[in-house]
Amino acid sequence: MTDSRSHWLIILSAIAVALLLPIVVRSNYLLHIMIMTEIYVILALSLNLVLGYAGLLSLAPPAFFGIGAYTSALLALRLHLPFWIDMAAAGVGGLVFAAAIGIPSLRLSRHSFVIVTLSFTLLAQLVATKWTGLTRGAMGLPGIPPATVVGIAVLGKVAWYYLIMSITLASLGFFTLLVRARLGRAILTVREDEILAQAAGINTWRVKLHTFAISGFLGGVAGSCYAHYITFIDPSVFDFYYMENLLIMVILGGSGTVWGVVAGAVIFNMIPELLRIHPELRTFLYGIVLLVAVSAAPEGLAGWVGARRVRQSQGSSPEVRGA
Amino acid sequence: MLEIRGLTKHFLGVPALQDVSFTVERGEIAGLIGPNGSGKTTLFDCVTGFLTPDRGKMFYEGRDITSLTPHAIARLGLSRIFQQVRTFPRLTVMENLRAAGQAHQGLRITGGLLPTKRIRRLDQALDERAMELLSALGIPGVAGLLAGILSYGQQKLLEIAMALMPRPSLLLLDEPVAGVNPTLIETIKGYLKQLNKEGITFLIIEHNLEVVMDLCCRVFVLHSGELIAHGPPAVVQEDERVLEAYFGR
Repeated sequence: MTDSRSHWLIILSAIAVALLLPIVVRSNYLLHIMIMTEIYVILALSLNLVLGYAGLLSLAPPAFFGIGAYTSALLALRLHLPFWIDMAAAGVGGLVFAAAIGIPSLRLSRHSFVIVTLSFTLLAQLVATKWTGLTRGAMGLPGIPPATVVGIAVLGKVAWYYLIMSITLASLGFFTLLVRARLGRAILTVREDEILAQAAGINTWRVKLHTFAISGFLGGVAGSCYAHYITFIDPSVFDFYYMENLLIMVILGGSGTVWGVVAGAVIFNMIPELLRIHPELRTFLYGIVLLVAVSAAPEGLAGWVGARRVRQSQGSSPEVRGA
Repeated sequence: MLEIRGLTKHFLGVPALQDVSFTVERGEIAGLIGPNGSGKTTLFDCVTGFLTPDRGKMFYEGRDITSLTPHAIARLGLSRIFQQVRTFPRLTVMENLRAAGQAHQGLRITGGLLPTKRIRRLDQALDERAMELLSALGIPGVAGLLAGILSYGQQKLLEIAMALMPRPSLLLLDEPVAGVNPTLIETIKGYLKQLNKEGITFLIIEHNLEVVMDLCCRVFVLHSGELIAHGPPAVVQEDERVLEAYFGR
């Protein structure tokens, strides 16, 4: 009981610190990194749900991110719809596309699923580049209007920081609720042993479809935030570069945990930016970091912390072996 | 209770089951025996929907289950325990049991996202059932542990508890005492007998003939995918074709 209370205490203090940060941080550059981190947290949750909880490797998060960004941008530019509606539509767009590719591909083996999701991301980028009538292709979509909240335009980094913080916290709240509910448990059984889950009466195919659709929704929402914040998007929003970052954040943070992945997203966004590592060197270093980390701490940051805790509490634990 | 009619299944042309028919009566403990590779597990896979038979039909309580999916069959009250130990290793024992029971409470897949009064009542029912089973099996202390760190014997008991979570009426057991120490065999046997008295019907695959003789009122013998004998275990044991199947001529 005290353990879970200290757990919540840490989380609440982290949220409090995050909320107070703009008072201290004055640099626009730092604020920009913090806003991007918030967006990355949503994206990392999207991948974490599929990879960490259902045990399915999806390479589609950049696709849902891009679909969300384009949906949002086009609705804002062509139909002049307000931010909240754009964002909802972006989420639904991600969800619909996820369901559409999930329905055939989740019936395949896990390996085929990886390939289908990869192909989908590449295809989405191709469409965004070639369908110039809709997307203006490589020229991108400039001048996406900023968000308005109760009639007031959100201008300036601090305002954006808080706006996206509210969306990130809402996503986190939803995610926590989801993984603690029955559906969350069902999702875990798919990762642990799909055959046993079926024998227990769980419709694993539908569970996977829901998981993937929710992941698409979160990806779309993240894309919408990005489009309105940056105000310019082009087909590079589908770039696989995001996927590498995401994999690092989720796997190193501790896939299958909520707060480990949040920590992963924060750490692996801030550190490379703050150290000003050259982007190309960065990708190279990411590869090395990922390899080392996977062999040294295969359960990620959260797993490593958890294992330390178990080791510390040993001695007081009951004898478990030998029935 | 369970009727199997003309069940036939081939793997790449090799027959695994050939025109197998039999009926398990309500309230009995039936045994399914036969040498390795005789098609016992294949038969279980067909009955529980994990394999689709080439020919033949299966009825559970009069209902045709031949083309149903595994989860749909499970929800009808037909539970199964696998040959290899299967649990959800990185979940706690309690979560394993909740997962084994929740699908049978009839909620929609997205039901229970918000902890309403109704959901809390269902959760409580799951927890009570889980603790009741763990106590009955003599392992109430493991509830909070990860299933993956339990000993083999404890995992076997957990599997039984998981199969019982939804209060099934028919239980298919695939070698429930394989690799289990003699003391625990007695415990499991006693428990199965008690469950049978409480009204659960059993179909058991078992190589340990002593256990079969003790538990089963009738046995079915498979050999190369064919049903070669059936009857009370004492009679079947003397059957020439059975002896031939097991020991050769």
